[in-house]
Amino acid sequence: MVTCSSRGSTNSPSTVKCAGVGAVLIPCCLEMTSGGLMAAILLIFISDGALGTTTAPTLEGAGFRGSDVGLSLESPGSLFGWDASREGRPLPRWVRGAEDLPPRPDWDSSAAAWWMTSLAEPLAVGESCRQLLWDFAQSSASLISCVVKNARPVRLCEECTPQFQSLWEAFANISKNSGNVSCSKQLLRSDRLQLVLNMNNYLRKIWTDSMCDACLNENKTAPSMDTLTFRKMLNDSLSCFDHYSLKRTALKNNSDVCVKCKVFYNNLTEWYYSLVDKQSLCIDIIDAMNLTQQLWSKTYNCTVPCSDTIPVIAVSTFLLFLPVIFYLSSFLHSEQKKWKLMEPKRLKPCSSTAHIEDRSS
Amino acid sequence: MANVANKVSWSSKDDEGRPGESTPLLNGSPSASPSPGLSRQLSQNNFFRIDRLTTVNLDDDTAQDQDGDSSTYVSKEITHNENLLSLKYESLDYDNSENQLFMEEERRISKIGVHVLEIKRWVVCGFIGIFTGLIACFIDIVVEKLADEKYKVVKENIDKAIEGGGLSISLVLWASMNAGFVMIGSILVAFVEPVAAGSGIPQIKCYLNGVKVPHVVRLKTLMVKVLGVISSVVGGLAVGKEGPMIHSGAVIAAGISQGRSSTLKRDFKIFEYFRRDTEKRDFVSAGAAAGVSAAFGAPVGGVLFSLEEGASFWNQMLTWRIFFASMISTFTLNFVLSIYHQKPGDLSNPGLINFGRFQSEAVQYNWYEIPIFIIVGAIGGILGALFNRLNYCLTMFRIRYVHRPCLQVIEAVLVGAVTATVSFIMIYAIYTYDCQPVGEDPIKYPLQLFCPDGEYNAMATAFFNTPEKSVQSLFHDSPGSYNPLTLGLFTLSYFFLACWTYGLAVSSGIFIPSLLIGAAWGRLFGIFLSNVSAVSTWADPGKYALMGAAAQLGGIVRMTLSLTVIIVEATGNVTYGLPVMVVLMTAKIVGDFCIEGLYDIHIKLQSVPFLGWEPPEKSHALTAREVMSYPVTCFKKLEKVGRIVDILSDTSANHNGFPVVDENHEPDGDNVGRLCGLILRSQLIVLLKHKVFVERASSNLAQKKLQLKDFRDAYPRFPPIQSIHVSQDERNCTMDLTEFMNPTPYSVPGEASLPRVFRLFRALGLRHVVICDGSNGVIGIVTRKDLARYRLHKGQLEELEMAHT
Repeated sequence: MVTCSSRGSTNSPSTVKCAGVGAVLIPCCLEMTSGGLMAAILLIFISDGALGTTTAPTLEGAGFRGSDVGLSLESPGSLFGWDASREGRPLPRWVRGAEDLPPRPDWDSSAAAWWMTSLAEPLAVGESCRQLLWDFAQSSASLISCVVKNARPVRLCEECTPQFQSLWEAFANISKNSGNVSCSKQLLRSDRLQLVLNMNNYLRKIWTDSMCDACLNENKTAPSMDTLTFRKMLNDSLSCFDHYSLKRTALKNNSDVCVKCKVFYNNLTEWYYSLVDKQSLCIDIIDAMNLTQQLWSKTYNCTVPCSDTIPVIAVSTFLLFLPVIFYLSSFLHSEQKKWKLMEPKRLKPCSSTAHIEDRSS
Repeated sequence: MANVANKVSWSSKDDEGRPGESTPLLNGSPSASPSPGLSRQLSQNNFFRIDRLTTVNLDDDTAQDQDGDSSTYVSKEITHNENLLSLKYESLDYDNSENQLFMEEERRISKIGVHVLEIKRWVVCGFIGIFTGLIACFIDIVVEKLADEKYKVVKENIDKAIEGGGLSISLVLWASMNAGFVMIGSILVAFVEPVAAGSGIPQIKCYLNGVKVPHVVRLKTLMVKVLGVISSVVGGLAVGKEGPMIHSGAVIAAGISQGRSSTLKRDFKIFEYFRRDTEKRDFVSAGAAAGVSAAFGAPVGGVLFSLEEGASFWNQMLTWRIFFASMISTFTLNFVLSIYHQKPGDLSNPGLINFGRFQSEAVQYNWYEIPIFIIVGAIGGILGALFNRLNYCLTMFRIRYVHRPCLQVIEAVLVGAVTATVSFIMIYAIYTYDCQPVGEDPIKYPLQLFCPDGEYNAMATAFFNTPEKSVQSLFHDSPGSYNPLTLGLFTLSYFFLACWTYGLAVSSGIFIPSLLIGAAWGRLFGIFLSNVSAVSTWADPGKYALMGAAAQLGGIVRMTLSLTVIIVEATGNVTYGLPVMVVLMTAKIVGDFCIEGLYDIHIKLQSVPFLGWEPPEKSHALTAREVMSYPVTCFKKLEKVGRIVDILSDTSANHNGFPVVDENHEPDGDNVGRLCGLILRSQLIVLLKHKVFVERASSNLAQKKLQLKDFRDAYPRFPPIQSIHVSQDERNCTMDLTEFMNPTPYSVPGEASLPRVFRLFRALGLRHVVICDGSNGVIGIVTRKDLARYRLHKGQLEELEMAHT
């Protein structure tokens, strides 16, 4: 029936030649060590699967089917000058909206789904909870796609705020306890990986790190007035750069840009620093400002070089010479402090000195 | 003989002083005729050389000196050098005077009384922690506010000047602002309380060693210290505010434990039991620990600092109490700062300096890096020794030539102006080389200064900032944020600036400048390593910046155990224990090979009679009989008031302890009588003040008996003898000392070796040891200075001179 190696240490399936119902193995291999036992239990599963269905792990059907499903929330018009090039890019195809999602995807066709439905599914996740999970998957997928697409130059807060909102919503739905079924327990804390929780934490960290809240209005839905003003100024400056530099591409010297756009640029800088003072800076604005500044100083070479070297050298030489004069004068003119010696009285010091000399020699 | 009572304070400033308060502990009257056979070597005064020292085992002929110097010797004046012992320093009375009053009081204390005392000690320690933490908060917040304001003004001015011209004006503005702040600080220090200069750690070290440094634990000193450190840090000097915290903590401890302030003339009538040197010393060591703890967020480091500096007097309960004070101190600081930063309860500021977290993968170390750490330690030791050597020469020059307060203020102001100038030149000169694009490396405080828009000046992050922030930048900014040239120039300039600054008449710590220098060259070293080795994953510049900082600090101050723990605690990463220890060990070994630690140098230069851990080697040849003072001024048990007043008023023999001898015993030979006890000058003064005369006691029975409380009330500032009026009538009275003298003073036979007496002194914290002959007859007395005179120098035992100004 079953030829079973009596040596528990050889727990690889090749040595355990089992060709039958796995359950018979256990009384046979009583002397197996725990490692062997594990292999045996594994074998039960394998043989079970082999008897029943194919074990092709087609779980991606369950998980990320909706990866291209997202809320079509590309903002209506780009506010940034150089984003004009992006218009030509093919936009992602939006297959279908969230609302026409089938309430129950085609689980039944896959083998794993069979196992889940037949055995563990009602135990693991209830019907309504699975719907919530599904929603969360969708919103996180769309959010991740948005975040990555807007990674450089950083337009996170500008472009992805709705996605973030919907993610918070989906997560809130999961975590709140509705009815008698606690989805939060089922979905968030039932296993070691805690994927949903970790995913949520990770995305939330992106949000906090980017400090997007600072750029939004009180409702956290639309950009604040400050941000809009900043964008407008930025646009003015950039279009000015565009205007004057394009005309003069032949020339090396961009002095025209520097003269004509100085007002715009200075306004922008001033506004930026006022925002800095108010601490209402998100990553979008910081990044845009950095790029603009680099454009201004590196590409167009507009920073005024300071040429005060001669007076600076003169003043600093003077200051550096002061201590030399001070020390010299105090060395020459100050009288040294004198110490008066006191002679301590000792007993027969003469003999003692001789005494020490004798002993130490 | 000149007036010995004329007091000189720490930074060698003359001071009006009170004569009675600073009586030297030397016993043995200096005679007008010099001891004929003592061989002296009088060499010409050489500038930075020891110009006068007495080597015990000289091989010169003694006959030459005998006649040559005898007439001129007494009035001999010499310039300052390191081989002197100043007479202005007294010893503290760590040994309880177990006289009858004391014994009676001890017997009266009930069991509950003992518990109450113990609880009081804990309460005092708690208050020490709280107040030290609050002072640290105050310093931190004020420095932050003022420094921000100053940098903002200067930065705006520079920004304007870059556009409109007139950079030299900004330079002058910066320099004069710095100079102004420094001037405030140094005027306070030089004219109000010179002992508040420097970090105060050498002074506290001396105090815990048993030397009474005048004014060191006064409230006035604390105020000058706090204001002085604020103005010197805001004034942009290369100083830190951490070292002075230790001194501040010690002053707070001394003040709170006494329950009164002599400066403010307020007595709260509490903690009267603690009004003596023994108790006060314990609290001062707790205060020093609390100061370290608040400065670095290192409570254990604070305890170990006290242990390392004052370890000769130690016990388990005291350690536990000190730890309590340290913990309270760091917690208070943390809590108050969290409220100040509007995040109450977010306890993330345990100390004034925060090294930040070293937690990422890159800053873990591997076993094969340990040899590299040893190299870092050796570099730190060499640079530290160089620093100390330069500072030694400079301090010697200062003591000799820059001793007038107004000169000291001018010097400090000049250093402030030059520091600003050097920073400005560095920032200005580097801007063509090292402008880093903003946003590429996430750094905390980017400063544009001179760089094109969108870039920041790497030199400015190091110079145009408070040193604490610069240290953090060097530790944590990503590898590319500084280039080697910047770091090299920074190290070089800051090294000399810090060396020049330490020892000025301003309150200043050396910890932060050392850390900054070390972090800069350590980072340079790290960059060099990652360039050399192809696999650069482990050579994180931040990690080497930390090791460099530890090495440099260790090379300068030469602390071992406590410094390791302080650094480990400040980084919050226990795995750094081993590398930091290795680095500090190497730095100490290499440094000690060249020159002593900075604190020891300064103690030596101040001519303090400091007793080291061990008696000097080769001193076994000396016996107590040879080192003791002779003859001794003694009192009889029943002594004439006139004689007592005369002896106390004699300025040429300002003795502090007087053996009391049996009047019935006739002196014979060397000895002056059989020893029955020891009485202190302070006790005699209190007795004279209260007119405790035998004749009075019989005539006026209603007069209340003198209590121990009367002695405590006069502590620690006993009135000088001149202020006590004794009429001609009273001079003929007698005083019975039996009740007030310490009947069981420590005494050793004259044949005891110097190391033996030394160990007795060090372990028990003694002030006087009476030398007796076989029949318990007093032949001499040994005090702290008689022991501290002997010092090993270049393999030979030499004897220091006693001197005063």
